Amino acid sequence: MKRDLVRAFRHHGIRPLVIPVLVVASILLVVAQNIDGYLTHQEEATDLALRLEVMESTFQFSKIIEEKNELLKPEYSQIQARAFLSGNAEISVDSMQNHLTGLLQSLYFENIQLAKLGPAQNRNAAVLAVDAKFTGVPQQLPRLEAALAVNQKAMRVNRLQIKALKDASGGGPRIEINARFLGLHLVPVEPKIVKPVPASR
Amino acid sequence: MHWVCLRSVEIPLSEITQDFSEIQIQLQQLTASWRIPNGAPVSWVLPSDIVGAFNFCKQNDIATDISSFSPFNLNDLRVSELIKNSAMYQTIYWTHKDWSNEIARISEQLNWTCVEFFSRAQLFIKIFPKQESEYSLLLEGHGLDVSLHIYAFSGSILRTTKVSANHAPDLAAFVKKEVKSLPLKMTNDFQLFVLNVDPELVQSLQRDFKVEQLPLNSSIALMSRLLLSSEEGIELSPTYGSLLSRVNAFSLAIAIAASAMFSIAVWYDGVLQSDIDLNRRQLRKETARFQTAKYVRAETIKMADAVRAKQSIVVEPSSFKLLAEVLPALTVPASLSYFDQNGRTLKIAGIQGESEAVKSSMEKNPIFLDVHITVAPEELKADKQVFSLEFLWRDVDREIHEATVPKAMK
Repeated sequence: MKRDLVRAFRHHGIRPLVIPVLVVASILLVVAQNIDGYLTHQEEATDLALRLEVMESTFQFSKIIEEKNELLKPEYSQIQARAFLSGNAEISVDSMQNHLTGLLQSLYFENIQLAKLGPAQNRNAAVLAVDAKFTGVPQQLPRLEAALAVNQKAMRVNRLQIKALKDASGGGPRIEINARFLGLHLVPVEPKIVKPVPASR
Repeated sequence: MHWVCLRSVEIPLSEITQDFSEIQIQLQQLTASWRIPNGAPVSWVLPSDIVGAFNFCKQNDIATDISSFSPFNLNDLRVSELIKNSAMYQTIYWTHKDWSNEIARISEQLNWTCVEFFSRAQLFIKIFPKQESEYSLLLEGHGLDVSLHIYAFSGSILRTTKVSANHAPDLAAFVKKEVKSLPLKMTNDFQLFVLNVDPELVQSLQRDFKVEQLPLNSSIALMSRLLLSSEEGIELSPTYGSLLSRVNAFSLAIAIAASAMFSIAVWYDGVLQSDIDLNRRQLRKETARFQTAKYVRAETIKMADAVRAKQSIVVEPSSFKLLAEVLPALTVPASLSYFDQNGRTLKIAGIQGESEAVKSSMEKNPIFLDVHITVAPEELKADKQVFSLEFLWRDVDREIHEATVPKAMK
């Protein structure tokens, strides 16, 4: 084989390689000119097929989802009306603190101190928690309970500590209240916008 | 491509003779028993008294004819190919036409294609151990025959000759004479190797030269190496034509295969494009419906999250409700000074009440469990009739919620 190659080259130079080189060069040229278009088409076809598949599976479950949607809508409307609405839970917890301060002040509680509990979870819906410490007289407690029941924003106390304070001035009994208030943060549902699909890619 | 030796045999001839008829008979039998196909290409490796060699450079020996290196007229010789326009020394192999015709005749009668003659000296090219010497001399014994092969450092053969019986007793003198007779300017910088030479002859050489025994290689290995190498002998029938045909056939096959693949790719590309058009139309048609479905899905998830979050608040204890449950259990004049609700645990303390009386009053309410008396808080210890209790409460709301709300809604 080696000997034959040496002799072929000696007698014919590189002429025997012309045909193979031409063949290989032609193949490479054709591949180079067409491969990009071919690969683009293949990728696009796969992408479109996948998008259609996602579409089909979405349609498959859309009826059940619509039923659930109708079922949840009335309750959601009630919840949304009394929840703290914002795109960010941190904003909601600040809003809840402001709201709570206003409520306690309107009921004449004194020495109001508020602290939020840890970072609020930033999801579609999250429970907000604020610890409050304030002083007042025992008669103010039923008014607080009544005010919470009809308040514009829904808040609930799930932890309560009441201590009677010794009153040096000789007035009526005074109490110190530590309470944890819970509220609901919701990210508002965005209005429906249908985006048009481009005619071609 | 990997070549393997399928069969080999060593045939001792009855006597040294120039008559090839015995060889022909032996080969005839082998051709039949080994079933060597007609026209099989065969190369012959021949001893130095049949194929000679000399070193030649066209430019340096411009005035010298090749025939001057041999005792015969050039027309009576078959000579290996001379590479024209080469400034390098090359080894030229030659044989007398009587030999070549005889071997060609035998090959023809055996239905072989005689393609090439090699010199036996070519078997040993480049098998010498690494050395500093400019030349290597090999005395090779084969039965009663001894041949001398002289190689340049590059591996090319300078001379190959058979040691006649007359010279055998004074082999050292023969070697010196051969070295001196070389046309090239030869120095004494050479290494002498021996292979298969009678030990007595080797001893006689050792008086004049430093002799090194060449490691013994099998003749099959030597033959295979020569056949697979690019080493050229005297070419009788060119074989590279079939190589060129194979290259062209291979190129054609690749071109056909590539064309077929390209055609398939073009067809498949057309299929892909029609799929793309169809799917695009389908996507455009369904986009509005899909986006609505996506919106409804996202909205439903948000609503479900909201309901779940609200439920998690609702099931928490209502502290004011528990306070309202505790207060009726206190009888006049007892008053509550401390109330602490943390999860399901309640602690109360007050004055003007008996612990036992308050405890038994608490136990009447079924939502309070495990009521027990505890140590009063520090700030009340100074007061009289202090009571202090700790107990659990039953989360009735949660129990009702868990009993009534289906699992799917949780």
